[in-house]
Amino acid sequence: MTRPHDDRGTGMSLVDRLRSEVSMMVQRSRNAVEYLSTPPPAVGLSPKTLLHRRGTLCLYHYHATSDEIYRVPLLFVMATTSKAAIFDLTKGQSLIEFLLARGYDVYVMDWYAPSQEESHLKLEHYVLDFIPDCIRRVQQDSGVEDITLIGYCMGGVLSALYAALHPGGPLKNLVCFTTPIDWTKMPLAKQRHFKAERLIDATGLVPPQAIIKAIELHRPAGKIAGQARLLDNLWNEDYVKGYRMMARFNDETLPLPGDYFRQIHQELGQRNSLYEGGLRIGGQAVDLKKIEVSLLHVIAQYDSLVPPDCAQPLVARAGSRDKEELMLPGGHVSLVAGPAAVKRMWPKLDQWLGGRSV
Amino acid sequence: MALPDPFKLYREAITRFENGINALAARNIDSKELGVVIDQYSRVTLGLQHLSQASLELLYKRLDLPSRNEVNALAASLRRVEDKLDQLLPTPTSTAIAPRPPRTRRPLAEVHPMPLKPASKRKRKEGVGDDSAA
Repeated sequence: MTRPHDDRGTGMSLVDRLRSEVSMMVQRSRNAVEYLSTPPPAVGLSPKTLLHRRGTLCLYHYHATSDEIYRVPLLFVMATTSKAAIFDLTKGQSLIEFLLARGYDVYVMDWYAPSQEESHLKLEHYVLDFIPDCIRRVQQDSGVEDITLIGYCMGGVLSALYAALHPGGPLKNLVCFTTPIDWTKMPLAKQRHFKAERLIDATGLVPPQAIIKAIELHRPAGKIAGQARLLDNLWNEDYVKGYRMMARFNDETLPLPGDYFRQIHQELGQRNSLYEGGLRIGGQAVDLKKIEVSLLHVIAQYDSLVPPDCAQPLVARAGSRDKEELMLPGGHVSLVAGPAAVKRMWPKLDQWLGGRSV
Repeated sequence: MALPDPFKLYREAITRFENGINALAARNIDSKELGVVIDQYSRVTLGLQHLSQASLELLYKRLDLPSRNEVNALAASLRRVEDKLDQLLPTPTSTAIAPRPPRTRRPLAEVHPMPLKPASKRKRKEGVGDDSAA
């Protein structure tokens, strides 16, 4: 982050330097008061219609902003621990707003916190019920048979599982963002000595605090360093706004159904069965070779949660003729949201999708 | 004479601290000791959570207020009613709200789908809130 006097070199006089530091100190104080006295910036404000809600699942249709749209609608599948607001942060930093402006018809599968009654949900419910249900509703709403499925992180795993189990359609394209396949390469899954049961509370759910702590565990200094950088950059309103939006995104982490977490921990984490083979969903064997649709996997070069070698087997294993892996500089979140994503990933996504959405 | 920048030193110290701690964590993430610590921590926090819930439920009972479970059950019932209403009400409400443009758009450069080139690689910058929950 460039400070006001950084670009003026070391030839600055002591008086100018002091003036600049005092000015920043005043801005820091003003922004600190604002930080403490105002709610975090609102996110997820692009106009949308709730098409369907069932328990933890909800399906939104975003209102078109273009006079003419592509034939094939996009259906986003959000990671099950987070709200889809990460795709719609704020004006100028909303992937959804960007795609709408580029003429795409956008639907999003988002999640509410699962209730105690939903603690029994498993991968089967997400892959063989929720996704097909939403696809049917998108087809009905749009009047188009073909769909492009776009999954982020665990949403990418669910989308890839769906695609592998439904090679006959109706998917036209599959796009995954930083999706873990070889779980032995995933830092969090390397810890094999704790019992999944310990994270499941009396209501049968994994509380969001446990998920946040588990994610912090692999980069324990990240939070403190982030706060220290905030202090340094408190004079910069854009930095503070970005920090608050990301902090809000983290604070809105959702609980997970206990059975779903147990299954992920045992099948994907311990047995690594998505990569090694042997994973069965609803009695059907999952084979990534059966993914035949056009496939794009966008991987973040510096992703410490899902490192590139954890994500790369998707394109390597998929049976699609038209498949592509795109590695971009960035981390797990900055790949899809924030100023770097606006410049790097979004235009590439548009470029890939455009020709495949007609 | 060049003036030392204390904030530059501060930033470098933060980066060194973060990289050092995170590298240490990465080296020990698969250790048995860490697994035992996580187990014990989870056991204690879940135990405390259970104890506080039980105490609060007792308190709510004394105050003649609904417990969290009862509110959850009520919320679940309401949700079921909402879901039924969603199914019963006509779905195309969105058409009345949002215009439906024609699905005739084509890419600006009408070419066959082209493979993408990766963006130019840059040196990694430490950022805020990255690698967070997803």
